[in-house]
Amino acid sequence: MTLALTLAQLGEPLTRGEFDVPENIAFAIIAGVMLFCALKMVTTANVVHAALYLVIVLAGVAALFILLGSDFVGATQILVYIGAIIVLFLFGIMLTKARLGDDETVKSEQRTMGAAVAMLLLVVMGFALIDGFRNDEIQFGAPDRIEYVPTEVDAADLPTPVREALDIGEDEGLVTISEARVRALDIELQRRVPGAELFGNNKEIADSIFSQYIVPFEAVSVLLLAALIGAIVVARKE
Amino acid sequence: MLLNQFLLLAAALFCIGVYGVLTRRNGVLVLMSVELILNAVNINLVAFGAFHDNVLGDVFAVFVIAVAAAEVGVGLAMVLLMYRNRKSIDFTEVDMMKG
Repeated sequence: MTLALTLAQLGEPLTRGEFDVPENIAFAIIAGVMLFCALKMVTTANVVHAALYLVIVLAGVAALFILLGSDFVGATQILVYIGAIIVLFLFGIMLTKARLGDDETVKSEQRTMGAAVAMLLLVVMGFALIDGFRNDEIQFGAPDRIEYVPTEVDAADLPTPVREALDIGEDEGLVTISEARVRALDIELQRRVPGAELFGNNKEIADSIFSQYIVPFEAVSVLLLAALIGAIVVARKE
Repeated sequence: MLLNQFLLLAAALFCIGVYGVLTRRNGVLVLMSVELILNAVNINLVAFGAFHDNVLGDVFAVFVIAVAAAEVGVGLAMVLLMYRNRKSIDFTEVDMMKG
């Protein structure tokens, strides 16, 4: 006799990662805007306009990070890229007096070759991705898991066949069922525990960076210091 | 959501960045295209992190952002040096080491 029963499963939809309409609409809008602005960025003649198109693409990337549940990386993206790197680019454009509105910034003779290389790359990567990850769904948050019910349960929660098998009355209140007895009767008492929520992996990121990846973290700080000193040394006047 | 929609978008952005690196003359615009490529990689990292329910993708994306910041700093310093020496930031003119 095997009674596979699940407690506390009423109402809770069991499958996550079904077709999420709002998220897919948001993704479509973000992706369309990003692709359009990226194409404008690499084709526009005006350098300042290219920097502003890059801002939109970077903001779209940050929106995708937040859509994927990585709010910390999205915030870092906005702070570092839009807050710092774009300003650096605009300073670079101003300091080098790039000719504004100049068509010659695009190498026309290499345009067809570049487009061919990019299209070839896109076709190869697209084929590999579609072939490799055909219908893999991203499950947001941790999946639901099955665990055994605690040994102490409310008798009213138990279904009638289990109560009869265990010889328990319906109004006995809290009853203690030893796991050994459950196993001896070959009864599977299961409960579905909802998984973790979507947002909230900041704690895990912090744990990971400051314990397992502390050496790369320190290496990155040394790298930033070296880049700072190197940029000063390269760009200063003699 | 499908994993592939993120991966294909990242692949498209990567290819647009490659096109920009190959066809732009202006040094600052080449650096911007490199940023586009790095961002495409970051989308892949975060999407795979969400797919495997793992924070490592996020951690590596943060590292990539830091390295990209350092790269832009040094790269722009080199572009400025090139402008000061040659009064131009056209990458097609940088052929001193051409054999």
